[in-house]
Amino acid sequence: MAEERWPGEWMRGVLSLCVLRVVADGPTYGYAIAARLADAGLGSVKGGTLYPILTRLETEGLVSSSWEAGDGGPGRKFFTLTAAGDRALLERADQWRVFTERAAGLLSSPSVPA
Amino acid sequence: MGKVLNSSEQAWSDALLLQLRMLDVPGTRIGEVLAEVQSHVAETGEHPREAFGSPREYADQVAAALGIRPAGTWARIRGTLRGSDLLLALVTGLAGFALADGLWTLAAGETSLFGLPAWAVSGVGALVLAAGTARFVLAANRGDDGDPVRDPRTGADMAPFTRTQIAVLAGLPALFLVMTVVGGLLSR
Repeated sequence: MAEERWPGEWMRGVLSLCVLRVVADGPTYGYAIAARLADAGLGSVKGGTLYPILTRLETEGLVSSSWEAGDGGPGRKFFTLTAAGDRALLERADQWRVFTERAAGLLSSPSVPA
Repeated sequence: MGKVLNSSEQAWSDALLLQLRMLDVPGTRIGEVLAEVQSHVAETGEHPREAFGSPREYADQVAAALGIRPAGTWARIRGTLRGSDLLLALVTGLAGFALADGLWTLAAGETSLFGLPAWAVSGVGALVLAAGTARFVLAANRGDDGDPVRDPRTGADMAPFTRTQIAVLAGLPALFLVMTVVGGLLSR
């Protein structure tokens, strides 16, 4: 599929949850998270959008972070899911599934002429 | 930490540092944000402006993520000024003026200024100015700004006062004072 560009308001709604899901696969860093989101077909997410989301998740205690030295480079900041993050992910993913099913149900219902 | 950013990228990073400071983001968090930018652009090869937008916009986004309310330009400037700094600037300025005027008067061969002996006016001006300068240089050398921008990877101060900056800040006024004496001598 060609490069997707989803409406900004949809991305704002779901990106934080998707980032949490990517981090759940194991400790990972900003660029790899962006690449994973692009692979999943969510379009390219800029650093300016991604890092504030990670910062917010960290202040909420859902992820933790630590720096690891890169070979000659400036290093990478690895994010890890916390226990609270794990619970939040299960709960919110479940809610999201119900929400999207209901929205899809409504959108696919035949329109009744007035 | 080696050279990671080129000069245009560093300028963007410096502008971001200033904007975050003006929003009262804690120094340790600013260090995290700057290190994230370095790491990200090293990975993608993008210019920070492409990846993060303008320094001001990005600072606002970071502040919002931290629950800090974005402020207008005037509120940002006011937020960074402390009463003690303003008072020190005022006293140092007046002392500099007294010293310069006293030196000019002495060099021009006169003895009194504002009805006081010119040597006394210069002396008091020089003492106060020296005390103010010493306080500034010592604080800069100690890196004593209360809330330094710490690099999360190395613990180093990411915005240190360099010797060149101290030399320029202390050297320029000294040069002006020498020129004042020369001016006074020429006016004889």
